[in-house]
Amino acid sequence: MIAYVAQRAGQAGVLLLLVSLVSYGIMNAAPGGPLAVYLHNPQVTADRIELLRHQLGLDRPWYLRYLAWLAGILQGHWGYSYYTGRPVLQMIAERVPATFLLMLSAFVLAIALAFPLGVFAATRKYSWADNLLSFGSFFAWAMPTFWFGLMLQLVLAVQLRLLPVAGMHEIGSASPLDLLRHLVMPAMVLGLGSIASWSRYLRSSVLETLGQDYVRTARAKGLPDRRVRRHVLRNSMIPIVTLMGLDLHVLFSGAVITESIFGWPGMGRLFLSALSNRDYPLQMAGLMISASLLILGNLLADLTYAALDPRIRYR
Amino acid sequence: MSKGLLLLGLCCLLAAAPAGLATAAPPAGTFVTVVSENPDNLNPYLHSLLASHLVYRYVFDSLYTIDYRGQWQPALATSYKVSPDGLTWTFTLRPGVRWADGQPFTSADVKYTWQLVTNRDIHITYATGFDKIASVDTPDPTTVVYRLKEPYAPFRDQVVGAPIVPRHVLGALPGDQINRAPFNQKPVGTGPFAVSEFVTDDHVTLVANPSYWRARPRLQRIIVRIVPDRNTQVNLLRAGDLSLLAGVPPARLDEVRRIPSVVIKRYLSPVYALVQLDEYEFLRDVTVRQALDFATPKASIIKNVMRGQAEPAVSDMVPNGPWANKRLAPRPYDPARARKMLLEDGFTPGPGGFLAKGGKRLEIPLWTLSSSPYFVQAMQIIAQAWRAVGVYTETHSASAAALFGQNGPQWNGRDAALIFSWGQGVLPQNKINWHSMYIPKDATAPGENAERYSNPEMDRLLDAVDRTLDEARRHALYDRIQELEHRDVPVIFLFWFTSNDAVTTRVRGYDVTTFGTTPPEEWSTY
Repeated sequence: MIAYVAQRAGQAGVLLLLVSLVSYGIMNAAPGGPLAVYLHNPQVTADRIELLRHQLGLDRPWYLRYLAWLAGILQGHWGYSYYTGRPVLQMIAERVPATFLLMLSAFVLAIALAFPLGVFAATRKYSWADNLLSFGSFFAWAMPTFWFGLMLQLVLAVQLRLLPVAGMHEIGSASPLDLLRHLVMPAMVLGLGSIASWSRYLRSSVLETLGQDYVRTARAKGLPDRRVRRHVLRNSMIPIVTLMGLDLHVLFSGAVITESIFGWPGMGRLFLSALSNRDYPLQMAGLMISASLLILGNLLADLTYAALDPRIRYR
Repeated sequence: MSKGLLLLGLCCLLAAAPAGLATAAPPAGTFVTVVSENPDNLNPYLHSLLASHLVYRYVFDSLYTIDYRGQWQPALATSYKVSPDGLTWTFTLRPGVRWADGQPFTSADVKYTWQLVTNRDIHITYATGFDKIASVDTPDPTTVVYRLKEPYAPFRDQVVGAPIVPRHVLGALPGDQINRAPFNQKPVGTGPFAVSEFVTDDHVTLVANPSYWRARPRLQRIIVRIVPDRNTQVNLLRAGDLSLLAGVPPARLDEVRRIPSVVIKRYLSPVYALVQLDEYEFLRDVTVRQALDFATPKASIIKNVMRGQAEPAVSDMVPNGPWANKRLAPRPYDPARARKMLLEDGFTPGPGGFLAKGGKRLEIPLWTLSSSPYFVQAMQIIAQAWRAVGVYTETHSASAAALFGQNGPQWNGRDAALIFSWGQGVLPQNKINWHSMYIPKDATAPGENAERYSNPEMDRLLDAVDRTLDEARRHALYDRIQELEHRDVPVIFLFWFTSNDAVTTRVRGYDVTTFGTTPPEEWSTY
């Protein structure tokens, strides 16, 4: 097991290096560049842009800049944002709590609802309830996030005045209740998509497991239904765990559309603006952390398989 | 569906727990507004986004300032005089002014601002005019003497109207540290408000500066919320969370008008939309450019795309400002005349009905910013109209970074005609747009004259107007400059944007024009 993890960690290191090289290359090949923001500003003249290019080191070839960036990262220097002049790591760190809170709430909401709904639908295959849930899932899945978000806002915040429209706190308030009220709508919007997709996967996985011989045997030997369901659920979880593993990095990287609609100060907005401004240091930091978490999520999913299914062993 | 309902129920349960309405209007003395982007840098000389200006405008003062009627008014300076040769500008500063941290404001701060802006280690984005200064003398704490390298008329607009930054905060820092100074997030100014809290991508809180030199602000605080989605901003207004929503999106204007507690302030924005005609191939021919101007249905774009929230444009001087040439009128939409001009210019109809000359089809691709739905729609209307007169036109949209960046379509001639917005504000200086010295030299060099317009008379006029201090003479020169813009069509002027600010009825003292707002210290809310 330890050898396996060590081997995967080694592979991850090589993979991350490749990811960084390719990302840096693509980033530089994309038309525009960090100074494009100024090019469409009547106040910023050509000679200023030339000077900025030199100051930011953008007049050096990209591979030299990549090497400098890599050397910095290896020493723990993530650089400074081109636009705010602030340390990249600090800008990212201050977003972590808000992002994590929102994404985790959506995650928990999704788990809490997707599991019972998935199992419920599978055990009542082709009933009207199952059909209704299927319809609801596909509807929720197909619904554009921004539309659902704005509709929720209109109904719950503008018309009924039950919840705040946007933001994370009332200005000047730090109460957890206030935070919770701001959290409801974005977490719902984000959670809904996951509920829809996870419950579908779980439904088909449970259906498949229910058809297995050992389930029939368990039932034949008179095991109570509750015990049977527990075995079925555990055996149906492998595809869901894969999905969750792949979604782990989202806990960090946030959700651009939901954050924008609900004015939530999360990571998605930070990276979107880094991307549209071509703020290379911030963009690279976001990419690298996301990539690391994606790899980590995959590894965790693989390890969870072994915990779920004793037949799976890693050497 | 059922899950949606279930969630809705859950949400209502959660919401019902804390009693009372979720939103209440801002308390008296608090003014809440919203911007779309996170202000990148609150140092006026290091920022790149408009959102930053919308925050630091409350924090800093300049020597003189343009009021909302368009008149220059003394601010940190009380008077100035210019030597007859135009080289020496002497300012008398207002005594007794203090920075928000209590330190006195003196001529040393004015001199330091020049030193900051011209420091080549600092990531300065705005330095126009400062490069004309040879030296700055400060004979006493309330006198500043600028000595210029050459007579330079735009000096007042560019330097005298520029924010003054504090020497006692920044003066001891080396350039590299100024790029990263905490000042950039929490600046210290002499203005009516001071930043007390900046939560990135959430809000900036500014509190009143009780010892503001002009008058004690009537508001206690201004909160600038940062919400990127325009529809959410309108929802915030409808829920009563905002005092002001500047620039209501035209598509939601009717809805906002119906909110009983909101008043709309409509004004002409000093920003125009244009089609830049890059002078490659057929676009070098002035007749082709004029014909395209006739073939562009500007009135239809104003009516159908902008929903009436725009005014016709004929030059780059805002029509209600002092510099607009009132004798010029936009070319009407006249496709028959456009086609006739092209035929007389030697074009003949070819395959598909498209015009051609010398075996080459008249091809003018249109490009615009994908981020602007208005421009994308306008582009389709223009493309259709141009095709109707026989111009082969394909349409493309791209991000700003891709469009304006190095090696983008601007440089390889692919974007021949480019729709975007521009404007030098209410001030007349437009040299960077039309002078041939600002034609970009290569694909990686920036330059504002990307249309590559070159006219020796225009160059002479633009050089002359910089040296001319006499107001009447400057007006005559700018009139001629606008005549040339109109005659030569380096760009097609589409329209001036009108803006609509939605202000709640609880706000007093707020007004806005093309030139700016009433002073923030006069605003109040109850």
